Order: sequence, then structure tokens, then C-alpha cells
Amino acid sequence: MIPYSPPLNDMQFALEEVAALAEIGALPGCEAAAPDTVMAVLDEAAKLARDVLAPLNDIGDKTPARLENGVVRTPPGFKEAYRTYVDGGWTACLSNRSSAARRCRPWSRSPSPRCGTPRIWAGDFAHY
Amino acid sequence: MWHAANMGWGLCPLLTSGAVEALQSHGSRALQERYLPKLISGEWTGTMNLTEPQAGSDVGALRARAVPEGDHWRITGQKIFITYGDHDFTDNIIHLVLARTPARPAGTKGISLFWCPKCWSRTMVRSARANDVRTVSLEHKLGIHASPTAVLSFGDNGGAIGWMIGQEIRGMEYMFTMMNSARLNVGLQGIAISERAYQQARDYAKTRIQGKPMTARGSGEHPIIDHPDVKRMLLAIKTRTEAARGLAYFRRGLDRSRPPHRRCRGACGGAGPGRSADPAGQGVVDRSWRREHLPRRADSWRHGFSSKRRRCAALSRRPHRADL
Repeated sequence: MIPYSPPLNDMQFALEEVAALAEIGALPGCEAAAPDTVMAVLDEAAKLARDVLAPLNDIGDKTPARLENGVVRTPPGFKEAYRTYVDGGWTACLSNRSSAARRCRPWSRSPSPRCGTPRIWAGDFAHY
Repeated sequence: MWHAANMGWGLCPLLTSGAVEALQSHGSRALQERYLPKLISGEWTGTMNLTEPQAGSDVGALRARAVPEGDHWRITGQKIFITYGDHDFTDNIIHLVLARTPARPAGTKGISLFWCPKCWSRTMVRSARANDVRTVSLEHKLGIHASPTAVLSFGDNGGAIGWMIGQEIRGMEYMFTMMNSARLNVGLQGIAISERAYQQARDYAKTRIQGKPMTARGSGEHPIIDHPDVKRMLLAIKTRTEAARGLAYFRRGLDRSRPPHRRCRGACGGAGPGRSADPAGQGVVDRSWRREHLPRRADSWRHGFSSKRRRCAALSRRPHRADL
């Protein structure tokens, strides 16, 4: 397996020095996007990347998704990784706007429809 | 990080996120209330169905049809290059499908957007019946093998049941919401792949012993990272990656304050990282690495990006088919 180490330091630098994370966190309603909180979220996202997703990368290339009797089978471990991602509440990164979306996030009670919870906001960066 | 760790897996949430944005921006309130929570909770995933065999860059040439039937529509046609068009992550998949309604003009103006589940019932519950959507085959791509890129056939048995999103003939406009989301995300994916390429190239250059650098004195073993040109290439990758990262994060911060359909007027970070994966390949592809996936993957990804840039109006990852 080829290891992957999430570039948290580089991400922190880009967020704080270039994207002015502290200024965003200081905006009304965006308190949850404080740098400490965002980095804590990214820390957790990094664990998913490093411990769950990265080990599957090679497997995915060597065992492609295949169609069997009309049903698609993804590579071994991918479905379980998706479950880990869902159970971790990361799907909330998908949206921060609609009321329907907010309702299905039991842990989210953010007053701001714009910035949402830090997890959502930081989740944008967790993907890449 | 997730895309850098495993891009084949990461494409699934990427598509779902685009579908969520499109539904949020243009779907009726009832549609949103009923189905968005399922997408956002991860119980279902979303796809983007635009390309057809004869309608790639020229989306207006699409032949998929939708005819009204009661409160829903019957969709027929074939769609290709559908990333995660079928999979076993979840029980249900929501396909966002472009199709032409009866008596509407040719070209992009006559196209409407529909959402069409893989399974359906009156209440869209888990015990749903299969909709008339069939996975015909999966593409054999150069890279990103883990991600199933499907050929989907709608309506082999009378028409797949779907519901219209927003108003008729505004489908392209709505689909662009999803596409803009995908474009920005594919740009960011470039940073992810570039970072991964850099890490692999750096690690390899540290361990591969070969030659004697011009600056070295005496004998002894030297890893290729000691060669000035290799170091230069590694630094070039690193600086481009970080520059693109800064630009993308800055953009993302700005973008978040806009409604989705106003976002992403330029998919940032795309071309730069694409180029920066080149020296990574150059630096590390020698005999022991030729079978490795990264250069091919970067190539596959870049093909998707340039294709998109060229037509400006289509979907994220148009895969590079091995047989072309």
C-alpha cells in the first residue's frame, strides 16, 4: 500500500494565511468557523482519509467495479467505507442550506444558514 | 484529503453533492422536503445524466424523451458516462436526467431536467420497486477503475418514471447548477491528485539510489532527490500545488457566501495541478513504477478536465475510454 499523509499543515497555512479563516470566523453567525474548530474537524477528516480511504485506493484500482447479472459490485471495502463516512456524519458536508437538510442533522443547531456548522464548512476542504 | 486518498471512492459524494445543490436550488418545496433528507443523510446517492452516445460536447443533440403521464413523466433514452450510475453503497440512487419533452424545439432550448430514482414506490420506502432503469455496462477506463462509470438505459419497458425539476425547458440552466458544483470540485480534485502525486514522487525520490549528483563529493550512494533537476521538479510540483490550494480555498470562502447558481465562475485550480502531475510522473515513472496508477489516473482526470473546458457545457469526469 502506498501511504498517504494528509497535508494538514499546508491546509492550515492556506486556510489561515490565504483564505483568512480567522476573519471568516469573526463574521456574525460564522463563529463556528473558528480556526481551532475547523482544524479539529479537518483532523478527524484526515483520519478517514488516511485510515479508511487510502488503504482502499490500491484495492480499487486492482479490483475494479464490475457488473454482475445486472448489479454493480464496487471493490471490496468500498461499501463499508461509505458506511463509515455516513455514520461519521460527514454527509452533512453535502449541504448547508435547506431546512430539510438541517433537520436531518441531529447534531446541527446552527443559527446561521450561511456558514452552518464548522463540520460542514470544514467539510468543503476535507474532500480535497 | 478524501479525494487525494481515494479518488475512485470520492466521486460518489461529489456527485451527490451536485445533485443536492441542484435540488435545493430548483426543486419544488415538496420535492425538497420529501427527498433531500435522504440524499443528505447519505441513505441515497445522486448522479448526473447528461451525455448520450451522439450528444457529448453538443448536449443539444440529446434524444432522451420524456412524456407526461399523470403527475409524473415517462423517460426513455440511453445515457453514457454516468459516474456511480449504479453501485451497492446504498439501496437507491437518484438520477438527474436531461430529456426533451414533446413538441419542444431541438437544441439545448428544448431540454428539461428530471429526477428519476433507481427504485420507487408511492412513498419511496426501502421496499421500493425497481424503476425502469437498467445498467447496460460499465466503461473500461484508463484509470479510476474503482468508480463505476455506467451506461444507463431508461425505459426499456415502457418508460422510467421520473418527476420534473423546476419548469419545463429550463433543464440546461438547472443542470448547470450541478455542473458548476462539479466543475469547482473537479478543479479541487486536481489539487488532491497533485498533492498525492507529489507525496509519491518525493517518497520515491528519497529512496531510489541512482547516479552521483554534480554537487556530491567522494563516493557513496545517493538518492535521486539529491540531483538538482529532480529536486527542482519536486519543488515545482509542491509550489504549484500550494499555490492552487491557496487560490481554491480563498475562492471557496468567497463562494460560500453566494447562492449555488452564482458560484464558480471559474473552476479554479484545474489546469495548474494537472500540469504539476506531469513532472511527478516524469520524476518517478521508471521501470519499477510503470505499473503504478498515479500517472494514468492523473491523465484520466486531466482528460476529464480539458474535455470540460473545451465544451464548457457538460459533466465532470468524462472518462477516457481505453478503446478510443
